[in-house]
Amino acid sequence: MSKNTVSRRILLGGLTAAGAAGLVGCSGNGSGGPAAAPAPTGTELVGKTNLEIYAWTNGPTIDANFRKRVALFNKEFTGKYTAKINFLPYDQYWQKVQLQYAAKKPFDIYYWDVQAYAHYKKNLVFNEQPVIDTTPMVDANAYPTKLYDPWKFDGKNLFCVPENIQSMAMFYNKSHFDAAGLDYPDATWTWDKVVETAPKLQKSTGSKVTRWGLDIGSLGIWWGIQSLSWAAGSSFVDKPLEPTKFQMTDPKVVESMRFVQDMMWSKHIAPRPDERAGVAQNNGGFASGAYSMIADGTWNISSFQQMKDKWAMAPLPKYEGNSVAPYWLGGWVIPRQSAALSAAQAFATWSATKFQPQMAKDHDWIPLQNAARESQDMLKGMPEGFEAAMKDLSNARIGDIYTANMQQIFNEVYGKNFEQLLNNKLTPEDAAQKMQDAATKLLG
Amino acid sequence: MAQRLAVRPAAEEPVASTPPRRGLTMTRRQALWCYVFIAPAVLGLLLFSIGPMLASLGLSFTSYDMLTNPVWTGGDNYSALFADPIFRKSLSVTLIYGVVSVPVTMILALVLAILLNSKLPALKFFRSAYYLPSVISGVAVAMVWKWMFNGEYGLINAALAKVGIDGPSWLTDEQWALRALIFMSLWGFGGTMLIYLAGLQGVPKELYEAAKVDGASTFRQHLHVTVPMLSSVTFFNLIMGIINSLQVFAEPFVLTQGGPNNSTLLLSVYLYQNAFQYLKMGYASAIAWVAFAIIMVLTLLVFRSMPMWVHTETEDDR
Repeated sequence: MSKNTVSRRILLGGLTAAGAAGLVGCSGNGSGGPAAAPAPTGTELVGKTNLEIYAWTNGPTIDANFRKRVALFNKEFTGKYTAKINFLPYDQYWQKVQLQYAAKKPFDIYYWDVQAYAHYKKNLVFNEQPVIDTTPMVDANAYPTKLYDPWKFDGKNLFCVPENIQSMAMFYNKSHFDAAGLDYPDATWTWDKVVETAPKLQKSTGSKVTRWGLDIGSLGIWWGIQSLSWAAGSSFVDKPLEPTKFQMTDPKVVESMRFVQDMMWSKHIAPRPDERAGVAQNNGGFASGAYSMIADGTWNISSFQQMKDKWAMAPLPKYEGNSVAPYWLGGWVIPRQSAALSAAQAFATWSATKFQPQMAKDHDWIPLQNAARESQDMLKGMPEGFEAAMKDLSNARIGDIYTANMQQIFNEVYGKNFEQLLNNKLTPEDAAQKMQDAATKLLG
Repeated sequence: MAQRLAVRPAAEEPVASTPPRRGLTMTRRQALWCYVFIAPAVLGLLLFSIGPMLASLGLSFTSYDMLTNPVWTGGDNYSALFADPIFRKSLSVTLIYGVVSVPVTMILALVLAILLNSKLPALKFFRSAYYLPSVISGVAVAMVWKWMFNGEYGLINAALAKVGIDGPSWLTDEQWALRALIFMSLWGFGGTMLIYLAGLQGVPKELYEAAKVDGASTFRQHLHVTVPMLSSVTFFNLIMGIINSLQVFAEPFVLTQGGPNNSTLLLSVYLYQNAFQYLKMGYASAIAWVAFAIIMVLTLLVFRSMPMWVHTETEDDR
């Protein structure tokens, strides 16, 4: 071969090297990367003025309200900031957030869920307390500041900007209760009363149940069952922020698991998993009138508003003499490398303050601000019992657990074993032991 | 072939009579154009296949959560993998899935290909109908099957109830979930069937006629003529089946997410969970490389076994 001819080996070798170099360059995993933005003061403009907001899609009603909110923000900050909101399906949302971080180009601002705790742990988000301190959000008379505590990951500061709150309640179909001549659930109801009432609301055709008096709803999820163990005086973990041990085998926790399992299996007053899947696929559950009562999250209120039947809500029934509902904060995460830091902070704090009365009118998220949450605008159009359920918030406990491996614990440990428990494949004792062992291992 | 070999490459043409040209010779120009034409494919392969593969090989020796830089951990991911009971479970689920679904799919595809190779009324309709599931998106197929498998309202249990059988909870029962997935995988035999059908066109009719003259029944004709004559097609389908069965993702992800109790946790689903739910990219990469190694070993074994059962046509056969 002539000297001038490029050999195939050299060509391929060169291309491989170029490809590999390109890949390394693209991966963005170098130890360098842009320096983190300075800690925000809330007064100087940092970053670009056009803001890209990311949230996961919550259905047409809530998404439309989000868009409306962004339009209001743009109007409020005309000439200063321009925001745009993007929605992704939940299962793609967190992948995208991670990939953006991996590419060292995180979103300007994104909506919080428990996965973002890992971003705090990796020092990727700002301490937003200095910004929050400049707003009325720290006024204990105006906001339920005590509820922020679980979000103070370092014990002192908020690393996300909270703006709304969600909880769990008992939803019931008033039309079904009226037809059966039964009293509506209220704050005095116990789970025993629910168990006693549910069969009276059930309807069947032959051996097939066509309407269930009760669906366990969110009691089928770990945090739902945990709310029963709270009421009984125990908990799944010793503390929700960086727990040091799991307490799944505590007899009170085991009993709460048995209670839920029994409602589906030995008492069979609520549909079993397969029956629930069938109802969900066929007609959509409570909203379609397939269940008379359901213990579920308050984020369902806006979708239940579309129901034909009359419906209302009540605080979670008492278990072992107590009712302790879980609560969750909704809010915004601003990466240290946000390209529109000031705009992101402006959007987050505006959402948590000035926008709160509008949030009350929209009836999608429950405002954090006391005045907005308790306003007539909020209560108007909301179901009966909403106010009572909200009063229970003072007694509520955070429905999350914050630790590095929590996603794996939720999925591999809780998900698998609770599924087995609800399918009656595991006794509560066995499920508790399995979860205790596996979760403890992942905690270490 | 003989005629094609007779055409000598231009470089070997006598050049003495032509005046020397400035610049590149014909050979070099041809070589250059060759590289230009293959460059997009080679670059694509390097950047989007080989490059990521090498990157994932590198990542498999690190702890990498996508949020911070990878940390070199040597072979820790691999040693953790073999000590991981969920990985072992996932591996066994994947092997069971492959061992059952690949041969059953191939047998079904061959039988239908033979049927569709005969003179049947509405042959084109049947060929299209059987191939149709192969062109539908895996996610759409899975959604349809999810409804069909529903224990309460599903079509399958409704049909079983008609004959007095109380169908199981297909997707929520640990005993039945993997069987349901395998059963569903059979639905996508269209591609395999099509390749068999193409292979059947090349089987000389005389062989069947000779077998018939020798008194062979239809079954024996297929056993002793069709099966050996299609052995090279079977070989191809087997290799592709093994690779596909170890990579199947959409259907188990949509239908069961690996549950109940990990009974349908195929390797690809476990890999996905580690990569995108637990942010263990290094561990997920190690899973990918172990899966790759398994595919390579199985493929190699099939290749090694080739002389024992694959009939290859030689000049003497003609």
